[in-house]
Amino acid sequence: MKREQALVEARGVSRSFATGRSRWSRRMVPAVRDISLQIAAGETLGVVGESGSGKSTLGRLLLRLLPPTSGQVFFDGQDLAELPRLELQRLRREMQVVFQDPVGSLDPRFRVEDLIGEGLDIHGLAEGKERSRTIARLLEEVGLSSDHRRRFPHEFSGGQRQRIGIARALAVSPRFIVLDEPVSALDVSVQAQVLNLLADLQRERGLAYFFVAHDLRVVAHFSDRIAVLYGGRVVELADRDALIARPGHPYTRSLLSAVAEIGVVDQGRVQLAGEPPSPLRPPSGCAFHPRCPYAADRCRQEQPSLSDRDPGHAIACHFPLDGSPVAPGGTKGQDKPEKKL
Amino acid sequence: MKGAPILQVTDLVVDFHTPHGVARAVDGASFDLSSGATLGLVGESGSGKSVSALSILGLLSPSARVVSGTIQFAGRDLLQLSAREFRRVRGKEISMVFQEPMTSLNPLFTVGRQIAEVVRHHERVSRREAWGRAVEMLRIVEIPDPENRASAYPHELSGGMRQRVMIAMALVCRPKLLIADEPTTALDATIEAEILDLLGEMQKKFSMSVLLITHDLGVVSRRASEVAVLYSGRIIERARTEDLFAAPAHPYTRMLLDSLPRLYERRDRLVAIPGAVPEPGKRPEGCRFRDRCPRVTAACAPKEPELENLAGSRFVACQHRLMPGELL
Repeated sequence: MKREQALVEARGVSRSFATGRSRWSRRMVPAVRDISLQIAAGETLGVVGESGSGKSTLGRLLLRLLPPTSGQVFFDGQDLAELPRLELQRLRREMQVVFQDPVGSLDPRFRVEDLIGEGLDIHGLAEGKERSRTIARLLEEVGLSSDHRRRFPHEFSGGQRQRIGIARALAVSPRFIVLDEPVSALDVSVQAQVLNLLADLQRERGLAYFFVAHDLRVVAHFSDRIAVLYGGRVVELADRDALIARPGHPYTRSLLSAVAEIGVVDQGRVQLAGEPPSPLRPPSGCAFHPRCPYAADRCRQEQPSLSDRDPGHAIACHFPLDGSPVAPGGTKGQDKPEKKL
Repeated sequence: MKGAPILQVTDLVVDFHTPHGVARAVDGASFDLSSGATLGLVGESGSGKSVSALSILGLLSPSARVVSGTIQFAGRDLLQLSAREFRRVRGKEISMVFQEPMTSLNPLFTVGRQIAEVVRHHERVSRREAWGRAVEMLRIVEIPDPENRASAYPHELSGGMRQRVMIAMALVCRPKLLIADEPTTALDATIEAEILDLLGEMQKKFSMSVLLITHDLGVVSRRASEVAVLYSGRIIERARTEDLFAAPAHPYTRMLLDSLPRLYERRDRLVAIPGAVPEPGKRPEGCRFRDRCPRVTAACAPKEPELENLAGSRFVACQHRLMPGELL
């Protein structure tokens, strides 16, 4: 079954993990719960959420580095679960991942050329002279020099190592890359270099990105659309501008108000009670209800489903905010906008 | 509420002795902190911000050595104190909060006991009274149900709660100066905002001065009244927070601000500073930002620019500084 449009699609995907040491104390803990979303070719879907919200697990599910407990993941219209092993392996070329920690994800015993060439070898894409030409071209494409090929990862700075990680992902000419906190470990000035590089590569190669980060400023800069995760579910999904200007879920609103933005007066933060939910003891009904200032009885009992408030702006809340614009706080010296959630 | 400086660091130079030679982590840093104010010390990794803080606390590792400089705190030079004298100051007059509460707390003792120990170290009080003070302090930092939580072990608390415990421990002896080194870096966004608020409330309540060390200019803009920007072991710009963000004078500060992704202002491309912060042994002669600076001229070497006073509390170390409103 071929589906048009979406390059990557998750349909009702859930994933649980087993905890406990013995068979008798083992429990299944849900990390991702019933998530459906699509990513088009050339698009960046950004994902924000606090630790434990399921964002990294979702990335691994999209790549089928993890099989879902239930639900389906499609790549280019093909159900990854139904693909024979060999075909899945072939498809892996098309989907790559770049991790946060460029130290931990690059084998220190490999030279740069072998780190980058590994994918070429596995998929039999280039050999001999062709292989070294490809590696030299990739190094230059990510802003390194082809003279770097014989060096080891420890000889590079954090930003350069992340460039090697990106070159490694690009080597097999993927169409989709999961970027899991790709700039979190980098200094601000270097972070900008890497974000610009990723944007250039996307334009030149038409890549689709699934971009995971805990820093909303980075996600907002980089994404076309943003999904907000809470307690393993998508609670809001919208175009970047709409999400930031007119958030509909109270959690999104509080997340936005928590961002320390330069030159923007703290406009009275939306205070949340308590802490993010423990996946071991998920709350009943809406997972956000224990911290939500608007929680009503219905929220404690019934899980809200994700539905469109405006076209393309989906919210999972029984009482979504009406979407009146949120002022960006005004600049210093101006009157503070009315405190309003 | 600007008062006389409570802390005055002058020409601080700190060396690290490594197997590869001597690395100068801090190279002539000077800054002061007015009583009741919050000074944000910002810089990227390798700028020397944490080493500066550890020098003030007398907590440098054995491989580090203060080569020269003075650190005046409440009328005396901290660098002249013996280890024994320092132990009486640290935790009592100067306290600290670090990034990772889990490694700063002892996993084997309850949090109440660890806070009570700080009290007993500095004051002659009974165990029972010290415990009472610990519980009271947990209440002040808004930990719910403090009587019971005092008996909890660190692993039983969430990251945000542990950072509240660290703050309680730092403040239980009512210090005059709090040094907070990346206090919210490991925390989720909503929790970070709460901890920054709490620090602000505590500062007012106890009339403390705060030295806030961070890589995040957003955190500085939220919390600090003044900012000092460190680059490669030196302070290259100092100003009141609004002034710095409204009109940065050093090209590095300007580029650092332009390299930040913003929420409410969509930027097509970020300004990227080419290259990386030079390692201590590989700093260029003259201005150490020279190799990465778009305004570089022959005048930037061989002499290193001094921190000059522009007006009021504005200082910059650059021969080609930006005028207000000027772009790079």
